[in-house]
Amino acid sequence: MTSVDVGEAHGLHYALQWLHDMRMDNVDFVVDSKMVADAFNSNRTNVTEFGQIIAACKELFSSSFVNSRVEFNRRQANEVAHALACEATRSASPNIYLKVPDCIATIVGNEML
Amino acid sequence: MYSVKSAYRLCMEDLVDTSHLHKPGFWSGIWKLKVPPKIKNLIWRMCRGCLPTRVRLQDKGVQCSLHYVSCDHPLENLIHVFFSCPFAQQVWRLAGLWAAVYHAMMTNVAASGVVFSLVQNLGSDLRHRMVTIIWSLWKHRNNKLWQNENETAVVVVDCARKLLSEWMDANTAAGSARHPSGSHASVHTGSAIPHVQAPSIRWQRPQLGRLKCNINAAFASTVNRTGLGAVSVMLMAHMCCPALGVLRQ
Repeated sequence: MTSVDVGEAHGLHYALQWLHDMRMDNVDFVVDSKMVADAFNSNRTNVTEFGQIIAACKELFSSSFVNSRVEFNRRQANEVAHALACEATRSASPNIYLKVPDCIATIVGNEML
Repeated sequence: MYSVKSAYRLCMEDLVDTSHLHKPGFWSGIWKLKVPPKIKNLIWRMCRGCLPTRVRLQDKGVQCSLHYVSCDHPLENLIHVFFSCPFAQQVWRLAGLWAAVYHAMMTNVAASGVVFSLVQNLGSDLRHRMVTIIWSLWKHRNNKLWQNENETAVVVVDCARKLLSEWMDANTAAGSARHPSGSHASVHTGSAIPHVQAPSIRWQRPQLGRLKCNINAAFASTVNRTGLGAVSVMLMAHMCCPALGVLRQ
């Protein structure tokens, strides 16, 4: 269990690693934490735990991604990721789904309309 | 029933005689306009004859020339600045309101009468556009007078359009953000915010050829765990292909 901003920053870091493993470029990373998006896009250094994770994100981002960006979106536009994260608190191990899992099928369907 | 309003009414109407200050007019129509408050205030001052046009300034004993700065007309009064100046007419034409304004000018002598008649007779969209144009014309006059800026009619109309649309967007968005459930919106925001269906905030597809990765974290305090979710969607041609990941910490 971590604090909220640290958790959100970890989320970004995992996502960066995941897409880096798949060798993806041209990616729009969307977070619903203004703290994370602002810290990521600013040049200020931050020595807290949160700042260190963001620094690690920046390094991974600048070394592995071309033509990509990290942006902020309101929570209402991030419902699928939210539902998935809630599900993740109950899951025993990290998972990668290649098919839309049941817990988010309805929301994905609605958003794709 | 007693309310602050009723006490105010009592003081203003029964205890003190203010009837000599009353100016007949369609005031409620002006206060009900769904436009930025500064515009309503300007319209109110204009209809009360309080705007400091040069004619008005001389009435009050200020020594100044009577010329209108924008077109060198010898008398700067309300009716000239807002309605009969050739520049103002051009602005009204561009805004698509000239016919209505012309008609109102033919049937009313005073500038306040013209405004009341327009507010009463125009539809809601046109009414809002009309008062915003008045604000923009006064702004144009002040820009010319104090900054010596020469704006074209197109700029004046555009400034009004931008002001109004931005204000409306901001108000509908703010209304829906403060009351996400929607059910309370009508109670709290009441008359201040127009009952326009707010554009809901929702997920947007990525641009063609780009990958979108939405990330979120969830915190389950009872089991002391943090869940992370990331969802990637790629838009290829016109098909969305979701690839999904759940990560746990």
